[in-house]
Amino acid sequence: MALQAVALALLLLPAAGALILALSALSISRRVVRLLGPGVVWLGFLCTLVLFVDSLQSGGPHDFSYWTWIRSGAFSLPANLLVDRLSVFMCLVVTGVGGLIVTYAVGYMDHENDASYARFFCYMDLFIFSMLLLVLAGNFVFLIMGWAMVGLSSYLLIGFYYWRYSAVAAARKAFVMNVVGDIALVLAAFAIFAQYHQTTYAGVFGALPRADDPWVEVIGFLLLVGGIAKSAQLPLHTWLPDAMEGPTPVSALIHAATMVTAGVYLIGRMHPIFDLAFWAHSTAALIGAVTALVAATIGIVQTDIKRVLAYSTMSQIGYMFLGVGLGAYAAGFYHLLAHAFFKALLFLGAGNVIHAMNDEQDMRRYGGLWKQLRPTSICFLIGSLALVGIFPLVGFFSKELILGDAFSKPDQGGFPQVMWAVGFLTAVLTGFYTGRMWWIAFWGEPARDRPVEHPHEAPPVMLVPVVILTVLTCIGGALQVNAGFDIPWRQVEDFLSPVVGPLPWSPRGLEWIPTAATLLLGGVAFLAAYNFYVSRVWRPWSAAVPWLQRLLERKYYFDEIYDAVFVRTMDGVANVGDRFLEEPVIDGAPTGVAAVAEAGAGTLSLTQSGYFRTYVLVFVGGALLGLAVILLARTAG
Amino acid sequence: MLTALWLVPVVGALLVGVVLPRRLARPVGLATALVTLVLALAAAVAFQSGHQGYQYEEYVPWIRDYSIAYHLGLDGISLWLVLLNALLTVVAILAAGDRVARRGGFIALILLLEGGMAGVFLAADLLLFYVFWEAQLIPAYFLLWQWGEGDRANQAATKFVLYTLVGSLLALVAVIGEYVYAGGGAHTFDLATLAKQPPSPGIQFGLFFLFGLAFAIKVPLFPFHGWLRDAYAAAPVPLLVTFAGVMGKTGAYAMLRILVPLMPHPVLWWDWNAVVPILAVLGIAWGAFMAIAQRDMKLLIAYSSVSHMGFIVLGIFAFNQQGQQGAVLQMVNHGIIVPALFLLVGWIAVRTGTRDRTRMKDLAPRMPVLAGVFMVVTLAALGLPLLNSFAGEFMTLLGAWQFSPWLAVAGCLGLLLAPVYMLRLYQGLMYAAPGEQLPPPGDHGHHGAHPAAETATVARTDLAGGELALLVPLLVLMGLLGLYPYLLTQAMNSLGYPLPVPWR
Repeated sequence: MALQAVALALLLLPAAGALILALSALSISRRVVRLLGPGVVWLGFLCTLVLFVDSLQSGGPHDFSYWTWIRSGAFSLPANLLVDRLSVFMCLVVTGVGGLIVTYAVGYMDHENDASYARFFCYMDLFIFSMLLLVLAGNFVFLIMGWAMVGLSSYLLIGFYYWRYSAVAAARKAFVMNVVGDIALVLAAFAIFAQYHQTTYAGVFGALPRADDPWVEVIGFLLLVGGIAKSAQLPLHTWLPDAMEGPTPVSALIHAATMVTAGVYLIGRMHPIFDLAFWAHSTAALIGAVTALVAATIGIVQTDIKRVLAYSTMSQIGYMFLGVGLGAYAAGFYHLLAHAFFKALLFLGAGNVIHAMNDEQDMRRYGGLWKQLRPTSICFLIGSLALVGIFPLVGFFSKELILGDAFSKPDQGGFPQVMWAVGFLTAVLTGFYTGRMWWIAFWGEPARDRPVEHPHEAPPVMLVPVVILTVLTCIGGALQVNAGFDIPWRQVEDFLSPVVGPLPWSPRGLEWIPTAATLLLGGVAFLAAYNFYVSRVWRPWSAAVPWLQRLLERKYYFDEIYDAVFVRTMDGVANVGDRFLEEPVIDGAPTGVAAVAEAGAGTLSLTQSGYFRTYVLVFVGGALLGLAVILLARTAG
Repeated sequence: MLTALWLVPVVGALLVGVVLPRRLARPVGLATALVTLVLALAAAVAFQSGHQGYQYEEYVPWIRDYSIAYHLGLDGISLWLVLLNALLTVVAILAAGDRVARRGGFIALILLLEGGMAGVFLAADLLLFYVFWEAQLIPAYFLLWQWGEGDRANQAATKFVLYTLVGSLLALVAVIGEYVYAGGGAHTFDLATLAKQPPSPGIQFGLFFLFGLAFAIKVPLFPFHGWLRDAYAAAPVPLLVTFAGVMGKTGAYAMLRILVPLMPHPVLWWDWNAVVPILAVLGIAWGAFMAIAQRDMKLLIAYSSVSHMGFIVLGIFAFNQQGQQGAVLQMVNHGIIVPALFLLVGWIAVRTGTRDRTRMKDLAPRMPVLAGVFMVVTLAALGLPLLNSFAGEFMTLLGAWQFSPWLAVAGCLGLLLAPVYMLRLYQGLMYAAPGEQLPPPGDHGHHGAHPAAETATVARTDLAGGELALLVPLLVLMGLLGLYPYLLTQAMNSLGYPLPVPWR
């Protein structure tokens, strides 16, 4: 009972924070906002810790019902929350890493005016609430609610600088593409109810068939579309790079640490379905691998530091999809956790730099920051190395766990090994684009057109969260030792296995070979970038293949194609339909009749005979038509 | 009790319009509407959820020779629509500006309209239903004709009345046909009796066409929405509160309470029950596309209504409990959202002097409260979960999926396009225009006064307290019904007479 209240409080605290801030945004003092905005998230973190301790002790899942959302015949849906180890794991990330980021924002957003300041924390708290609703939901409707609310808060935060059109357009794009995913989830919920007559997770998973069947595949694919849209995987990824229009803490919170991993959570949560749906499940792995590779290639040519991080986020989530898509759930979630640490660190570090550079985001205009922003630079370097997967940082352990599990997964005609190869190639590219970012932005001499000559290090409220994330990045690897080492220390896997089950296959004992290769080549690629971009010993690679550079810079023309195929088609249908069907026929025909009636009626008053004539005419005509239909019906029936 | 629900507004209308001096028109009109609302609320509070059959039933024989009765009843569907009608009439009277309200006639006609629509929801006798159905047309016509906006208001009123009359007169034929053929030869207008013994499928086929056309025009269902564009453009905003909020629902209500139970199997050359859901889905998509094409804010909302009413009809003709209860939910939800939308765009038009959405931008810093409220209403309108419209759309589409998955998939096009047209409207009005890169709002004044705002000439700026107060009940309902739609559906199992697919 007490636990039930804690779970609800966890959800309601950020909601209350957002509501209070929304109602008082125009009058609330900045000091109160500073306390309230992050405060409710940290209180939520405390609630999560209570649930975490309980889950360690009892381990059993709790299914708390609060009220009846709707009951309509067989469709009976309680408002219930599912508190098990998976949701607690996600809540820890959301409130813990989220709390650090919201605290960081206290400093980062300080130059906004009072109303915007309050508005920002209102949106942030709304996001935390939405994300918690998403991971705590115990049924499909509440999952969809959290799913869509997360999309909404993302929309609000991307469009936070609404006085810039680019932000406004990016926000709308993100919203609409997320709605594609929402609709897929809604349809999945329909199919699930129509097939299994259940609405809660527990009910549905209990009613699933024993073997694969077409409906399980349909449901699996619909869920997958939902996950792809939210996690910015191919081909529904184009909103994520544009989402960098939002303030940098937003990018850290939503577009790196939490929201975009919702697709990974979804596949993990729905693993009883995906375990049955072979094709949907394998497609998830395939999409993950392809996205990882494609995003990494685009990341090589980006010049905006946040966009490099955005494509790297896509790429890393591709790894997670690869992991959970192959059934290595714990590996996927471990990388989710690791990525939350080091990518939040990278974004917040980038935020410090952007802050110091007067909001300049083009990293070609940085250079030489290592000497002037030493604390941030050190943290950023550690984050970068974790992204590359350098031992002993957390990124090494989590990425190698995915790659190792893929490498050792038996059969399926070598499919997992192909996935591993793509992941391996991506890892090398990751080393290269990360190195490029690091060397260009922090090393060498200051750029000639650098906006600030003597930058200032960020204030403590911004630096401390970055340092904490750096520490977590350094020690996070102690949670789980990957398959390359024969050490039975698997905290993440053991914690999650009551929900997602243990890994159904065992290592081959050869995983150390690919691990060593990845580590070596990734590191070499990181260093090689130095010769391309700082010392310029080597000719730029793009000089040899300019068409490739252009293809990458245009991001494989996804935006242009979507604009031509969807946006213009939609507007075309709307405008042509309006001009040639709606106005002349549907709207126009009765207008013509009315005009005739008006003309016949004269212009003076309603009692004029013209109206009466028309009335009678219509009446008689209608009655005759009606009688004709009835007579026809009688003779025919 | 039930008689009072339609008679009080009618008496009030007579007082306001004929007896009392003009300066009393608004207070008396408001008092009348409030009394009606209190009565409706009392009926809701005392409503027995488990009860089978009508509640607060009134039965007085009227014309015995043709067994016509003055027969009123309230059940789990009509309860919510009567309540919606009463609430929105209060909102409409409060929203009426001094210019219109002082003339009294407007208030009187709004009250008459309320009375007519309440009668439609309450009638338990087919002929009585028809009387009220026609009665609501008269005040609607005069309201459009006398208080319409723009130079084409006159023509819009004529178009509306002619279009609707065509349907009504066909429906009259159908009422007589129903009397002749249905009820197992009992020759009655009693709806419950008629529902028990429908005529042969061939007769049903013909009657369905006659009734269905009348109701489809009223809803309006694609492609019978030809009257809507001019009428909504001409109707003043306070009128639209009930005109758009409730009147369309009389058509949808009639589909659910008359068309479906009285003609459950209208099959001859084809099956009407398979045709209507296709029209509904076409309407969802067509309304959405037309909304995308509009530049006039009122017309955009008007076409979004066509799209949303498509969900309601789709739910009704899904022929299962989820779809039909979802349809009732959606009637109420749409009735809460659309008036709020029309009020907001009306207020914006007053402030900026135009209804063309492409001629406005950057309003948010000038009117932050309005921007915030409009945001919530926009989100409700595009079906954001946690707000009310989602529950209705989800249930209607769930019903449609069980009828035919492809219908639900096609209906989802409406869910996809709704954010497109609603966000284009909202962002276009409130935020930076294409290509704009304004500096962030400064620190002078917490409203974030904007360079653009300082140069603009806007008569009044942010929402006044009275305007906000008008929207607050609607906003609260949007949140409440999003979190707890069971509040409505729990009463719906109490029906005056059963539907072909029983509700349990």
